[in-house]
Formats: sequence, structure tokens, C-alpha cells
Amino acid sequence: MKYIYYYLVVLIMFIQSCQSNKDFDGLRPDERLNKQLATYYDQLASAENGWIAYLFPDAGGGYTFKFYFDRDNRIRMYADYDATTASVAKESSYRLRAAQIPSLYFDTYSYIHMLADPDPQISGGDAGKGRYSDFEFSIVSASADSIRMIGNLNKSELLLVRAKATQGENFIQQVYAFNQQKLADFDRFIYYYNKLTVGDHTFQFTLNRDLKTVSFRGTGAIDSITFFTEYATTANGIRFRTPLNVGGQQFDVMQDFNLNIAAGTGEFTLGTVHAKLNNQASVLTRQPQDATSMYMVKYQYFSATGFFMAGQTDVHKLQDIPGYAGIRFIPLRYVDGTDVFYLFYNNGQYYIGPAFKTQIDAQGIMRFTNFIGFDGNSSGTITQDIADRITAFTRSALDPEGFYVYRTGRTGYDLVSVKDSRVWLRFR
Amino acid sequence: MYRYAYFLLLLVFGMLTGCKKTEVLPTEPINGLGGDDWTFNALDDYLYENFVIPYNIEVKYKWDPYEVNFNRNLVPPQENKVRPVMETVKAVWMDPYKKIGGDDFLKKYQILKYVLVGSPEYQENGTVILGTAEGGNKIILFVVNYFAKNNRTEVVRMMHTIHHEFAHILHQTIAIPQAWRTLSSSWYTATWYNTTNEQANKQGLITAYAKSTMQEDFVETISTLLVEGQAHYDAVIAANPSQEATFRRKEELVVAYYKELGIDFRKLQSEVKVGIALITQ
Repeated sequence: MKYIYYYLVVLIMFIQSCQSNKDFDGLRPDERLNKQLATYYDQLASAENGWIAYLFPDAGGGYTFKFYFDRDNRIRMYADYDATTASVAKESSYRLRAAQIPSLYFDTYSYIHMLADPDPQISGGDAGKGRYSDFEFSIVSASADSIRMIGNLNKSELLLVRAKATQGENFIQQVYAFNQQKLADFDRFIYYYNKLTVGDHTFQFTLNRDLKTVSFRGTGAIDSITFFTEYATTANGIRFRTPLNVGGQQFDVMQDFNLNIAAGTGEFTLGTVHAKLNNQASVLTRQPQDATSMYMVKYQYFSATGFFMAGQTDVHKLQDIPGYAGIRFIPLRYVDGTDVFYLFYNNGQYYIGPAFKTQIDAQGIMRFTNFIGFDGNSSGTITQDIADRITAFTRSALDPEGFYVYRTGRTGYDLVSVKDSRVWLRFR
Repeated sequence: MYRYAYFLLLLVFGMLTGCKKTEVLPTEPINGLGGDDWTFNALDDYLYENFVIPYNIEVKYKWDPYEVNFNRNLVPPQENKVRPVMETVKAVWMDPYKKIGGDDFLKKYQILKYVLVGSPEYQENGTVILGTAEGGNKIILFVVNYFAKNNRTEVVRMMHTIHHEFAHILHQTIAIPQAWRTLSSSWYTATWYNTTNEQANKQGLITAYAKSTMQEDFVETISTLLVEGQAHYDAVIAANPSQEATFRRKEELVVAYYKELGIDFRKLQSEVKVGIALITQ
């Protein structure tokens, strides 16, 4: 009798065990992946006017490209590095790949790879690293008209925006011209300080073409912000890497520039809001700690041009020295706390410059004092002309009244003469 | 008793038949299975006809981060450099071995994959890598973007790298002769890059890199004898007479090693010379 229970158990097992619960009736992962890649592929190739791309490498700066993708894995591109890359398209290949995240690979060499090239002669960055840029990108988000991507190796940011019919083959030429003509005007204002008014908010504004950054320092009680970000150039303005937040509003473009150098005024649109600019002689706001951080953070700083004065770039005409390769400020060049400015010439092979001590007072004013003498590595090569120019530079740099320090980016600092706000020096 | 048996039989039967499901295999192919896919152009056709069909050698010139050192900054090659590089590889490496070793030689000691990279690979110690061989079947060629056929120095440098790497593949199959061990052991060092080629020559090593390990010494000697050529090798000996015995012994061992592989090394040398002349003309 008790066997009946066993048979019962088996019977229950029969009935129970074969309930196939179909709880999955979607698409398999591979199907979804292939579908997604096909969608992206179609989106990229279907833009008949191509895509405008803004690339922000991890080492700083912002670059604008124009991409034309086709359906045969080919891409043509322009880049705003120089006049040639802006006007001559380069063809290479691309593909979409199922990496950890669906990724876009620029898989043979083109303009975009130059920033990532580990050869410092090509990238202008560090040996072995380049500008910490990328050419394989994970697609983070996509809408019909824009695609946002992050570099797989160096985490640089790439933003693709579908181009309009008016933004044709010569778009990058317009971008390049805008940078050369309009943005350069910011270096031509008489004074260092720019007061920017947006509604009832006021900022001290700096545009650094060397690092491609903008900085906003709030001046009133309601705007006690310090904000800097990289930008990429467009045909009539600039686009910020991270948007500026003012009074609950976000701004990520600045356009329709209308600058009047002689009058020291300017107008433009910030996002969709009208903004006004006044170039002025007096300090608007300061952060004394910038001086200390400049002195401590980096081992050396580079200036391509030397002093700006009253809207004139390179006032001591250092760039006329044969093989001029920039000025370097090296804090703590010697163990005894002596610092130097070195002027590099003969393609960077030789240098000469003043040695001194740096003092930073409680107001954050940086003074280069205790002039010790000139230090160099090849005294035989110094002509009278070089000596005159470096002496003039030294006289300006060792001004006893010192400099205010303004941070303009992650690694950039401007020195502005305390005595005369027409005189300033830009370091990165 | 039998009841248990029936019961067990029933259970077994139940297990075998109970859960028959008709599994349908997915028809959608797995993404990337069988390699990446793209629209072939003339370059892809050239590589397919000249490398894949005869020798099943894959030439990867399109970027693939998983083929290279993934944490280094590297760039893919320029497309217009790929064909000149591979034509040179064919003329100076494949054709000589094919001619002297027979058609099957490269099928037996095979490189399965060439990976082309545009830039060099920078090392933390300041040196750069120009080529690597892996697992006896894959060669990564760097600095492709700097290549030009009419630049003899550049052709010699690149082919030196290939013959160097291929010699690695040979000795990863047939070991280096034991006698080699005793020749320059005292000079091998991890900091080989602190030595110039001239200093290395004075120590009986053909290049500075030959100082790094016995294996590198062996393959550097082979590739110098093949690519830079016998005249260069003799000139080094002439400049360093005190090391003549070491250099000549190494040369002998290389010739004997190749004999074991069924190759007349002297003929191979002259074929490589012809190949280089053909390319750089």
C-alpha cells in the first residue's frame, strides 16, 4: 500500500518537471547588438551634410572636425589644426565594433589620430602619450542629431552634431578663420580685465587661445563662482566642454561675436542670452590662492609669446630671435629656492634667462625679486640682440610691484602686472 | 522486491523522456565571430591575394586594440603606407625564403599574422619598440607611417626588424645551439640601452640590443647578416679585430643552424640582398 505514495511522488514529478516557463521572448543579445550597430551605422552614414565633431582630449584644448561617413566604411574629414587640415579633406576608414560598449573606430590614420600620436613631433604633446586623445570611442548616448562619445583609452570626449545644409565642405575653413580673426581679438584689447555682464550677473572673463579655455569669475555676491572650461571653435563662436551654470540656466555656446577693440567693448550671445563685455583697467575680482597653487602645482610653465602689452602680442619681439622656442618659468629650479625664466632659442637647444627668488605675499601678489644674474647653457651664442631682448624681458618680469595671478585652465595661469593692467604674461 | 525494480524503471524512463524540449539554435550570427567585417577595397584585395591565399597570413592594418599593448598610446597606419610595406616584406623576407627553402618552408615555420602600427611604442625607460614577435606566429610592425621605399635606411631598418622577429619564430621552434651560450654570456644585461652599437661591437656583440639576452643576440646576428649584409658584418669585425673569433664563431653557428633547417644561409643572404636592391632601386 505504501508504494502508492512512491508512484504518487513520481507522478507529481512528471507533471511538475516539464513546465517550460517561457519567460523570455525578446531578442537575443547578439540580435540586439547587431541591430544597434546597424542603427548607428545608418545614422552616421545617412547625414548628407556630414557631422560636425568637437573633440576634447584629456590633455586639454578643444578641436573641431567635419566628418563625412559613407556606407563603405570610408570617412572623409577636415580638422581645424591649421590652414591645410582645414581645407584639404583626408580619407581613411572607420568601423563600428561591438566592444564592451558599441564603439566607433577610426581604424586607419587620419587627422584625428595626430592628437593621439605618441610621437611628440606630430602631436605636440608628451612623448609616448601625445595629447591624451583617442580614435576609438564608446557611444554613450545618441539622439537623432547628436551623438556623445567617450574615448576608450584616454577618456577624451567627442561630440558629434549633425551638420546643416549651410555647414558644407568649407565649414572647417570658416572655423579656422574665425579662430584666427575673431578670437584673436581677445588678445588685442588694451587691458587685461574684461567685465562680462549677463542680465544682472557680472563676471571677470578671460579667453585663453593658447589652452583653448574660457574662465568666468563671479564678481558679485550672487555669483561667487570660478568656472573654467575648454572650448572648441565653431564658425561663428565657441562651444564649451562643460556648460556654464548661471542663475539656474545652462550655457554651452558663445556666438555672434561683435567686438570693438578701439572702444574696448563687445557683445555676443551666451546660449540664447545677450551678453555685454567691457574691457577695463581695474581689477574686478581676485583669488589670492591662485599664486600659491601656480608656484606649487607644476614643475615648469611655458609661454609661447612672452609679454602682452596694450593689445600687442610679444612686445619684446622675442619671436624674432633665431630658433626661438618659448619662455619657460621653472619654479624651484635650484634646491636653494632659486627660480628662473629661461628663454629658449636655436630651436630649443640653448637657453638664457634670469635667476631670482619668488615671493608671494598674503594678497596673492607674486614678485620676482633678489635678482641673482643670468643663467644659460651656451654663453658663446648670445648675440647683442638676444642680450638686449632678454634684458628688456627681465626688466618687465622683475617689476618690484609684482603680478596678480589668474588661473585660466587646469594647467594655465596668467600673470597680470599690478602696476599696469595693460601688461600681462600667459603661461601653460 | 520487483516493485522496487518497476519503480526504478519508471523513474529512469521518466527522466529520459520527461523533459524533451525542441531547442532551436539561434540563426543570428554572433557579432564579430570570424573577425571584423568591412567593405573590401583594392588594398584589402591585394593583401588577400598575396598573403591570405598562398600562406594564410593575415595582415591586420586596421586598428584593433586587442592585438597590441592596450595601455600604450599607439596609432593605426596610414593606408597609403600599407602596400609599400607589405611589398617590401614580400620581396625581402618571403621571396628569399621561398626561393631557398622551398615553397613549404614558410608554411612550416609560419608567421600567421602581421599587425601594422603607425607609430613606435614608447617604453617607460625612454626606448621605443619597432617590432615584436609573439607566440611564434605573430609579428607586430611599428613605425609604418615613417616608411618609404626609396629610403634605404628605412627599408633596412624595417626588414631588420622582420628578419629579427622571424628568427625568433625559428628559434621558438628549434632551439638555439648550445654552443651559443658560452660566447657572450658575460655581457647580457637588462640595461642594454646604456650601450651604443660601437661599444657593443667592442664586446663581441653585433648591436646594442644584442646585449639584452642570448635570444636577442642570436636573432640580431642573423638579421644583421641577412639585411645589413655580410659586408657590414665584415666591416664590424675589421674594426674590432680583438673580437674576430667571437664574431666568426657566431657566424659559423648561424650557418650551421640554418643548415639544420635545410637552408643554405649564404644563398639566402644573397637573395635578401637582391630583394633590397629591387625595392630601393
